[in-house]
Amino acid sequence: MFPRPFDYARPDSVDEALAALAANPGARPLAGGQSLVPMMSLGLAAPDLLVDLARLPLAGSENGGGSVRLGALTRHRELERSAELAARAPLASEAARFIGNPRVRNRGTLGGSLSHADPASELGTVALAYGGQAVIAGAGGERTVDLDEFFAGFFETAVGAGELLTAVELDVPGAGSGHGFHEVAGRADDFATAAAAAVLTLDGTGAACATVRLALAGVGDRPLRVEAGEAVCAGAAIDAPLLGRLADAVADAVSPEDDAFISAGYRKRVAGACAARAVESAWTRAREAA
Amino acid sequence: MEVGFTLNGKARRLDVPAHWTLLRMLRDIAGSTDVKHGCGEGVCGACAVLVDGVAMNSCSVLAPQVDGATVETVGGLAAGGKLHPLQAEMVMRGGVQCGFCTPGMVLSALEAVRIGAAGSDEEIRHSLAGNLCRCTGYGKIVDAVAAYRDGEAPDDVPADAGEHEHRPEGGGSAASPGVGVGH
Ligand code: FES
Ligand code: FES
Repeated sequence: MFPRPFDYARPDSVDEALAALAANPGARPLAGGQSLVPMMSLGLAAPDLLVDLARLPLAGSENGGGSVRLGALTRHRELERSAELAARAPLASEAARFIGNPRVRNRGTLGGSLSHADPASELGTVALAYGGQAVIAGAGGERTVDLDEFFAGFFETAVGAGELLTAVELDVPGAGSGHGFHEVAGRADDFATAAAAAVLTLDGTGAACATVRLALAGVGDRPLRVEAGEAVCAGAAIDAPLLGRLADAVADAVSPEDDAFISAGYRKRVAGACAARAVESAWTRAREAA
Repeated sequence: MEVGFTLNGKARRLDVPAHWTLLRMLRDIAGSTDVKHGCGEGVCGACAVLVDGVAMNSCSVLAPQVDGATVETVGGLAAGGKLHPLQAEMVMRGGVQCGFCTPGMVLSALEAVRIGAAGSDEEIRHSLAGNLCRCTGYGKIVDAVAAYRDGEAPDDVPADAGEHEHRPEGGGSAASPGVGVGH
């Protein structure tokens, strides 16, 4: 019930961190540690070297060119409680309060959560529902990866060996748009049975939805967009019958597996309901703001 | 490696293996057995401490990560032989039974009240999510936090109030219910 021994480094710069990661294939970066440290205690992870990112200047946020840049070390608690961040990326703020529990949110970070890529990650749905870019640093400098390409598989991302996610740039739409998030979990701080995030943009008339980006967590090997659900909404006014069709389309499109507590069929239905509620609140907010 | 930090107001410098958790360092070297080892995997909240005023699960923090920080445990709350007002409310309102969850519960609740995340019973419950209690059913804990928030705490509850409160008439020898007492 305690981590196995490892070496520990606490670099002062991104370059030093990258060098330490590149020099040791058994190295893992440590951000908030709220997944990694328990995994080490459980024997599920046993890195040779932990590269503690605490001293790197990767917190903070800024607006620029239609996107909102959030540093990788932005803590969940800041997303949840900072009025400034809630104004900049309201979906991130709304989703953050569903992550773990307050102690976990006090330490856990955006970059750590996205890099860990838990299939039930709330922030994974936020990244996909907004869309945008992941900023990844490596020996050759920085590169960006479309957030749609970021999650590569079960606990796998586009971040390669020796690389670090340093920021995300979210395409947060302005006027005429709205966001919604809905999660169902067995207990308050449990992993999501299913969670859905939606970002909806109204068309020119303001009476119908132009596009929706809809992302689900807990129902696959990674957080994922559900385009079959987005297609149901595109060009339509959102009403109760449409939300019913949306729920069915999402339930059909996702393929969760049975686990010890929850059947795949139940999870599909919960996923559909979460999607419908997320889109409904995105629609309501977009219309109210218009 | 050397970890220098302030523990309940006292400067400490401890030699600890880098792979030790903060929980292990506090209990096994620093003598803070008021910090409880429950699950050891970040789900029960019994090990919560304040690091630079922020509540966290000490089993999910590595000892080197508090180098230079200020750590407060429940044992640092009572002062001058008097329980902290929230501790007093917990004792008086029956929010303490076996007491194992209490250190983490109290610190989590203190943070919640301080940052304004305890405005209603629902908010208190949201803020205490992840602090598991197997005894009380939570209702009395929520009541105690609400009363503390509202400043209803009785002033002079002695630090051993819990013992008197729970000891059967006639002087049973039951141990104290384990509210952390200053040392
Ligand atoms: S012992 Fe740390 S959360 Fe349970
Ligand atoms: S009083 Fe026993 S676990 Fe809470």
